[in-house]
Amino acid sequence: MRLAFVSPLPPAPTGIADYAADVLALLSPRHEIELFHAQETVDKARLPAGAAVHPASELVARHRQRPYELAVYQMGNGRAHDFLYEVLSRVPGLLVLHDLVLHHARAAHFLESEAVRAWRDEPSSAALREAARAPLDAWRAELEYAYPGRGERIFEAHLGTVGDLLPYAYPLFRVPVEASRAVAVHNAFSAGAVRSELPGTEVMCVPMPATATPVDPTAVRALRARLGWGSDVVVVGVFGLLTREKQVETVARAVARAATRDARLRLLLVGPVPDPGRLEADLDRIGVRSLTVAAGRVPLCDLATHIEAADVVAHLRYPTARETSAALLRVLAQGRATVVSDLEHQAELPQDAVVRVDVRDEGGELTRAILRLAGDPGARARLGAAASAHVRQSHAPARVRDAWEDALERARRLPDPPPREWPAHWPRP
Amino acid sequence: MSPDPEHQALEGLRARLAEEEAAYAEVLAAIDRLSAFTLPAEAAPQIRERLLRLNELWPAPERPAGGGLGGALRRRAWDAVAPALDRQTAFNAALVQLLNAYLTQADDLHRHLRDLAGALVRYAQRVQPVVDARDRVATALATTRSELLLEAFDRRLESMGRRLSALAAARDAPG
Repeated sequence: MRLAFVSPLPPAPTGIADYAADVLALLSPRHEIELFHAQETVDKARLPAGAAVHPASELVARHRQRPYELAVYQMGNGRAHDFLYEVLSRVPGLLVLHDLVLHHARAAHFLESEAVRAWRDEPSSAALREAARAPLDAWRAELEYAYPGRGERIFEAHLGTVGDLLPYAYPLFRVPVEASRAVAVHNAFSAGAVRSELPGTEVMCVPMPATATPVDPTAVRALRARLGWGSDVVVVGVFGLLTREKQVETVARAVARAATRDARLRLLLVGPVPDPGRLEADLDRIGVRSLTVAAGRVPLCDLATHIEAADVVAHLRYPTARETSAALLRVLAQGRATVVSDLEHQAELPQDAVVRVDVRDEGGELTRAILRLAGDPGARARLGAAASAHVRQSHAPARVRDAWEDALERARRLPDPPPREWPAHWPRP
Repeated sequence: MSPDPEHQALEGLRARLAEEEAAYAEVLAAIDRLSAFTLPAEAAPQIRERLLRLNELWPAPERPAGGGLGGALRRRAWDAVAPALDRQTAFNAALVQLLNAYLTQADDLHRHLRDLAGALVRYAQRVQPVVDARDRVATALATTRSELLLEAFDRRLESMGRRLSALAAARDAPG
């Protein structure tokens, strides 16, 4: 199949760029794929050899010149995906929704535009207010289209209040989904949510690829020694981009409470920290600074060793954009005993592969889980074995490839979606 | 679908806000209009010119000079009226000094009034941003409270959803 693959690509600082590289490796032997992006540099070494790479601005012209059988759009809730909105309705294709919630990034596209920022800096300026009107009106129109009768109120609430939850309650995927032939998601919950909001949408579930990276146990021991921890220490790890949603503060409190009963416990934080000052302050306030190593971002080649340096992994998430976490799959693939928030979109995880904590009392349940697992190496080993078996079975490259092939074929056969009364700023086919 | 009607209390608040904003805009426009005035020194530059002229004219002329009978007669006549002239000169000097001082003070006062009017306009223009900033803090505090409640309910809902799924799975399990 001749495919246009539109996505952030490595080295873009988003997990979806890494995902794109993994999927392209699976699909490229069977398809003629051209890649479209909107970034300054592309790490071609991580892409299939000889794959044509173009700016996304050329997609429509190239499609007119020689039509692609299918365009594939890798969509997520980050600004790295802004450019997809310019093309996905002009060349309808398969929309891969990595996040069910797109609201944050779409809001930022309008509200962080130059004109709106300038007005925000000088709110008394009538001229700047007038200049900001166009992006704000477009934003308001998009909200009203997605949520008829409520758009104006969402708009006002978004601009006039603070808080985290509003964008999660209004995921804002209507126009991208309507503009696509079909939608692929990574979990059943997201599939159900799309079907429920837009009945008749062709939605397919495609698993994310994940494989274990072989790790030398002596490297793990050496790393723990470098961090100041011997074999007697029990390490609780948190992996991934350490945003507020990862609930690092809750994990730190749980470790602090558990450590009063089991002095062997330590905390390892691995991943980029958007607000290091706040993290340090939290660790000090909670009293776990001396028990914690914040390793920051580590090279991909060292990540598996860091994961295996943890005896228990805490993977909490609230609120959630309902994404299937690549960071979680990595720790499961490495056979770690993992504690997760009991969230609906993670229902597919087998009961014996993770410990679930009720989101009504994550702190308490996590503390108890840490104490239980710290004292029971056998339980940790059983959980880890089940976790890695789950990843081998459900996220194996062959299975992912087959699911992708099915999704591509089904989307290829579908007609383009009918025209709709989208807000005026949305590009038409 | 018709838009959800707003809460009645909010409609009342919005109406009151519209009234207050209109009244504020009217007063701000009036201050803006009144603050744009011309100082007397700018409106009537001839005042300064006349003052300059007065400053040149106030001294009495010099005692006549020259010899001969004519000169002697002019000096004698001059000396006869000299006391009156001196008094008039003193009067002129005092009057000119008074005018100079008064106009200097008046100019300073006018400039001060203009500065005051400008500051008043800037103050009026800052009122709204200050109110907005205070409003945002108050709103943030209110929404923080709402978010705490919403998060608690959202977590309960998530938990109930999971329990419901588990019950449905148990019901549908074979055997």
